Amino acid sequence: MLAPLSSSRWTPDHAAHLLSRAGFGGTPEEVKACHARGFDRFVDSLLAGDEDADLFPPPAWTNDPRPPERVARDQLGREPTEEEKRTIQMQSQREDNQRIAELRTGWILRMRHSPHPLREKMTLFWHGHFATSIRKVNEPYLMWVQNETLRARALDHFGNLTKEISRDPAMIRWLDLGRSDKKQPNENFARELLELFTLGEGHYSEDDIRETARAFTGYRIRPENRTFQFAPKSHDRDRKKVLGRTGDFSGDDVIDIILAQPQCARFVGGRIWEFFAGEAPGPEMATAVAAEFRRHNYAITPFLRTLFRSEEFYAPAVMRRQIKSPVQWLVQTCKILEIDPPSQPVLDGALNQLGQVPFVPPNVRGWEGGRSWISSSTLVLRYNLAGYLAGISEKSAANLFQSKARDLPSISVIAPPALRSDPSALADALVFRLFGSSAQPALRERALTALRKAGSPPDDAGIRNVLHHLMSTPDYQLT
Amino acid sequence: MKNSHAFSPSFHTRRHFLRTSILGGAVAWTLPAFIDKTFAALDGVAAGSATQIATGKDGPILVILQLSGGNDGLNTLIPYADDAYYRARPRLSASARGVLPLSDAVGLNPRLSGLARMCADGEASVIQGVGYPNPNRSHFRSMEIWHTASESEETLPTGWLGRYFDNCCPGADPTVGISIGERAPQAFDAREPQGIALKNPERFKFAESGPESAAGLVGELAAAGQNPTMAGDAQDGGSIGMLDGGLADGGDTFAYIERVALDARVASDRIADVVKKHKGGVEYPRSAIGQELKLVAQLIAGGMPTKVYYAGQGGYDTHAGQSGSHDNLLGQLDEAITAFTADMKAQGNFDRVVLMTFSEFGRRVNENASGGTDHGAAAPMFLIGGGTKPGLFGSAPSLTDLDAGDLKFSTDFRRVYATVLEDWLRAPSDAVLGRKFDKLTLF
Repeated sequence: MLAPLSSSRWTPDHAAHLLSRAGFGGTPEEVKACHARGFDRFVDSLLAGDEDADLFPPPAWTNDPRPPERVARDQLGREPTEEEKRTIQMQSQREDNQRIAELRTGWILRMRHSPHPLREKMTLFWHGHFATSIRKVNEPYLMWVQNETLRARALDHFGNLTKEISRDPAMIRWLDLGRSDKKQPNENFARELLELFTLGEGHYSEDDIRETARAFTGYRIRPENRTFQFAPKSHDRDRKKVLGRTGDFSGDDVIDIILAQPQCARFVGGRIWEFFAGEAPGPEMATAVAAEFRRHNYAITPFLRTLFRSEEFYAPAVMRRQIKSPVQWLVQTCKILEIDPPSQPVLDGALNQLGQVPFVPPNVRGWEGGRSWISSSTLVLRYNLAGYLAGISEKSAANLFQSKARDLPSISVIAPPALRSDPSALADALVFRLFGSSAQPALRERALTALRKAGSPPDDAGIRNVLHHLMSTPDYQLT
Repeated sequence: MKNSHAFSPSFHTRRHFLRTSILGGAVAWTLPAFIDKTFAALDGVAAGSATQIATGKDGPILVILQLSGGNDGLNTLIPYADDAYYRARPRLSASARGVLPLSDAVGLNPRLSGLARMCADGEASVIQGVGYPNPNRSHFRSMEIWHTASESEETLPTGWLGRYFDNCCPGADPTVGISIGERAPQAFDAREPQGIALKNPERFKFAESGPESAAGLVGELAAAGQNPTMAGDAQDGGSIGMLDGGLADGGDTFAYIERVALDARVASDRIADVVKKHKGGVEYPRSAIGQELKLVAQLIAGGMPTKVYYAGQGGYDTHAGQSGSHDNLLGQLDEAITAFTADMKAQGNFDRVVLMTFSEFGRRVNENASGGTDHGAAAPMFLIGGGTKPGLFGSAPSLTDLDAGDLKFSTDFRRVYATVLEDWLRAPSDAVLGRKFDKLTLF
């Protein structure tokens, strides 16, 4: 059992920590408001969230499940000539590229502004857990459907989610389920289901994989509307032996059998803990987390409530010790600086170079996370990008602003004129804004030194440089 | 407005820069903040060696080329004379048409014509049936075994190249190992130095305040974001693009980031400089692997003190529709290697560079219902370079005497590592691999 944190110990630093981990952080005012709500009420409001669907309507093209190439051919109404084929292909490729960029920009914007940030954060977790890439799926529409499924089920129930994902058209294509039949079952999905989605490596046998593959035969994508279709003739109805149980199991049966294994709660619960707490749980912690996940029968919302209210979640080894993922870094920086994310193609370029492109995970295991986010290459870029977002260099900033490539932080909000004559108070304000903590003497000292060099009182350009300076630190890579 | 450079003391050389910062002198405060007083305390050794002039003009160099996803060895080195091959692969054996024979039993996939020519010219060798006991068929676990050179059931905290850096290159600066990509492979995991990772050398430079740097950055990012599916890195074969392996979690996270920042600081100016000066005269294919090898060649030409370069090609997880896609991947690989080889010859470096390929496993002997192949075990490796002994090494695995449908390995991959360490890098292999392995005669 995890011990609950006493509400009497709830501080603004705790509120900043929770807002950053369960969401993407916020401004100092937002942090203070969350703290003022009180511990339990704030946790509950995070879990409940506010409905945001109306704020982020899906792109119009999601009304038509047909890929652009199909649409063009249907419009033509006859077999295209070789030259028409080439043109159609080129145009559809361009259209598809635009669509996936639109989905990504839209999702990042939603993370930035959603009144239900935990749902977006959890959707991002599931995207990494059931990692699927456009680079094999090829149809943005299918990626959109999957993203909607992950969002709808993000805080629901792990069993339901897994079953739904096994029938998700993007997943069916990604792990080759669509061509798996009883004569020659394809093992790709079965292997990753056991290894990556539910139990973890070493907790099943090669025979379990072969038998599981048989249970998932006959899963198809209906060609005309891109929904799931079960093909009974291709499904293997015979007896299977999976994880010690024998029967004529369906795919859903196998998922139920897997869920009954204590290891499933340990593995998936541990992954969720790691995502929010920053480190894989030690053996004792893993046992406690698994027990909570099982106690809640794999229901995610009550499980998260227990995690977020636990004393362990606010331990010194957890707070301010998680390396921000590139998406977290970018969205949180935008929230902190009160700006909008850069637009395409700068956004995609930044995410690509930082090592996390939503809808293009590097492989089916998703993003490794943790220290792998930081290499010499990505760290240099983080430091440089921080300066760009803070708006150092007026000239190019003006150009870029015109081209709508980015939004510039309003320095008079971040460093109000009234505070500029009081370096000590300004240093405190900047440190709390950037690092979500009031007790950071080393950072405070650094801010003071930088402010002194930025002039007295510092002008806007000086403040931008101070922001860049403070964000170009190991501390800023952590949350 | 006030120009931020006005209060930035300029430093003309790295040596001067290091001295002033080690002595606690003033540095440009707009530069990233890791460079202040933690620098000296953090790593006097690296700081000292960073001031040495690069002398990478004569030592041996190893270039590792990782094929991610599990390359189908049987359609790479094809046992074209074996009836069992055609029986097991009624559709995929189409690739054997036009096979490029290396012996009367095996030959290369027709798309590997450059490699075949190198074999004929005595510039490349093939090691057949490489694997390890109790093969693991998980991409991630098997890749980890290859990266750490562990037993199948054993987990090691460091990578085999990291242990080589630790044991055989003490005091070397972080560029002793360079990985092309966003991050270093697990094979580089070490106490120190861990090597560095870079993808775009132009961007691998700390931007100071100034319109040019910000405009340059945004221009490069915009260019990098032009293709939102990031299709530059081939992945058409399957659900595995690149695999980097995990990083060890030991030590403090904060200290880890500081360490990486320092390594980047030490390496970034020099790398940017080298790449600017050495454009190279050989044309490379536009593929991701082609561009990666081009960058490796530029760094070699610039005399970096780097002993190990790491590059990779993804997309080999060919569970379905393998026939076109696998051949295309091999074609891309072949074009890239051919350009790289020509470049090394033009540079006069061909005799001191060896390129070694590997994949986490081969694939099942029988093709599946989706016209693909599932995860398997043993597969061939290639070694390319002027210093290699040409020929076919190891024995070709039997297609009928199988282990649960998979080829049995005949050569442990750690024997190849041991040979490369001892006979190429001139390093004691037992210190790196934990024990002695029988060497092959590869060099």
